[in-house]
Amino acid sequence: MISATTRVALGYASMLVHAFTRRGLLRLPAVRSALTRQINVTGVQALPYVASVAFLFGAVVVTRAIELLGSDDDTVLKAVVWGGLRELGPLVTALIIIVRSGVAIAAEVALMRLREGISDSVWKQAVHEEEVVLPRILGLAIASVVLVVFFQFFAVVAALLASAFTLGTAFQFEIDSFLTAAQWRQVPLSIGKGALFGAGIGAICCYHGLQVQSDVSEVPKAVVAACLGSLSFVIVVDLIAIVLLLT
Amino acid sequence: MAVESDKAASMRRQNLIVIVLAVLLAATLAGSIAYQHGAFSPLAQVYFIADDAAALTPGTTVRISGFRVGKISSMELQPDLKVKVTLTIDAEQFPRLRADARADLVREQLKPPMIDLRAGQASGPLSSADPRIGYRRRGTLTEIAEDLRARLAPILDDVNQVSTSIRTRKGDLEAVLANANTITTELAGTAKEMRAMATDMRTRLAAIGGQSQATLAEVNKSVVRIGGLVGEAQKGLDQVTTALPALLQKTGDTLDHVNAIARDARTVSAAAAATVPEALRGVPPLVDDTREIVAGARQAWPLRDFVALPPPATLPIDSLDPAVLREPTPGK
Repeated sequence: MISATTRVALGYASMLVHAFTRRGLLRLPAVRSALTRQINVTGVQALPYVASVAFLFGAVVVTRAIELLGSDDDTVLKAVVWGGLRELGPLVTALIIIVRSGVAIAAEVALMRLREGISDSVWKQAVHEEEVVLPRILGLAIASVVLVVFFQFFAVVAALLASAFTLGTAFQFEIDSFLTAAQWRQVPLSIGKGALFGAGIGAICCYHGLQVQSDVSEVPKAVVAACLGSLSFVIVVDLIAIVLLLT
Repeated sequence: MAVESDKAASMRRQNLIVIVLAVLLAATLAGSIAYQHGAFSPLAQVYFIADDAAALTPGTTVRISGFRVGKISSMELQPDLKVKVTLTIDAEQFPRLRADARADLVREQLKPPMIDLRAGQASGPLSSADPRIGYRRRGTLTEIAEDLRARLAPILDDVNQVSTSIRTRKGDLEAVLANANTITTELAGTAKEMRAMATDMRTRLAAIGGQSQATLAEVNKSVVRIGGLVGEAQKGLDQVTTALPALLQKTGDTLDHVNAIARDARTVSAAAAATVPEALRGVPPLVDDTREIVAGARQAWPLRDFVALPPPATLPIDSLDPAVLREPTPGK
């Protein structure tokens, strides 16, 4: 008998595997339409919010770092690189996706299942599966990548502006210092991490939505489980990524 | 249905714009960072051998004069347990490195370690075949403080010992101080005498200086007079120098005349050498004939009474002058 945690983990993995093996369904117009809708809702519509958070994040991190570390420009820019590019960019974006889209996906799938949109017998048929799992996982992965890139851009710009304004240095000088402190591999690595976060969150939310039985009271449970599962997934994956990058 | 289709098309358009923009931003960001790190410029490698790899990690920044020029690209453990550290730097910086180039490991508080590359001052450039440079570790502030503490501790111990010894031998010190006081008093007297001697010496030196001054004035006057004489001599020499060329010219002309006369005399002598002997050979018979004629005439009475005897001839003083011999004396 396997533990609940293992069962849930296998369930998440089954969602990802299922979506990957059924990637050929993207040729169908209905699936592509669902994918477009998911990218738009999760990515494009969340863009202003993510940009605002990123701008505030960059400005606050720099001013706080300068306040704590003094006018040590190198260390401040290291903090910007570490926060804006490597760690906090994908992490904050993932949190925004969980709060804004993950719970919505879990609730939507749960309600669809309650309304017999998806039954156990139908689940095995491609027609209904393609409407639920594949577009959501792929849509969240693409939207997460887009949001991570915009988050990085706005956070870095805000940080450099705040640093130049606080220290009285030229913006060009701050750009040069930032580019010197950063590494180009951090950009694709963070984008990859963002894609992994998005796909994982989509799989988790779909899994918990599909676990709802014929009872309305199970919908909020599925939403809470999806939210907690997504948070746990993001934190664990981020921890693993840090360990791998440091070693 | 058409509204749904328009909405889907709008969504697709928005998605496309946002995705393209995100791709461009990501490419620009990564490209700018890579360009700043010299990913699109040629690179060169140098290396150094360190005793250990403490504080050295791949990726550590390498700087020249504070500017980032590269990083530590690899580290290898050698058979002798030393570490070969390879630095990858901009290729354009390599020709600036001399044969005595050196890498300094700089470690400061709250900052990651970095390599400060010193170009060196040797005349020869760094060998491209074996680009090995020197290596030195600079200590952190903590290490410097520890080093100072280790150096100062024995000194402070010595000071402590000395002060303790002074405290325990206070009586001896008082005696020493009393002796020093006496010596100081004597030294003061000696200094007073020395001062008086110096004053006397100063007075004498002043008198000697006055006499020397008068002597020097006399000497100066003599020098002025000698200067006047030298001026006169200079004038005489100038006149001689002026007249001498004319005198020399006249002397030359005279010598030319003498030469010409000698040449004439030689010519005349040569001509006379040919004719005079013959004439001289004919003179004795002629003289004999003339003597007989004159003796006969003297004996004949008409001639003896009518012909007076000639007066005695007087030779001129400058008889060597040929003109006197050639021209008859006026009135004769």
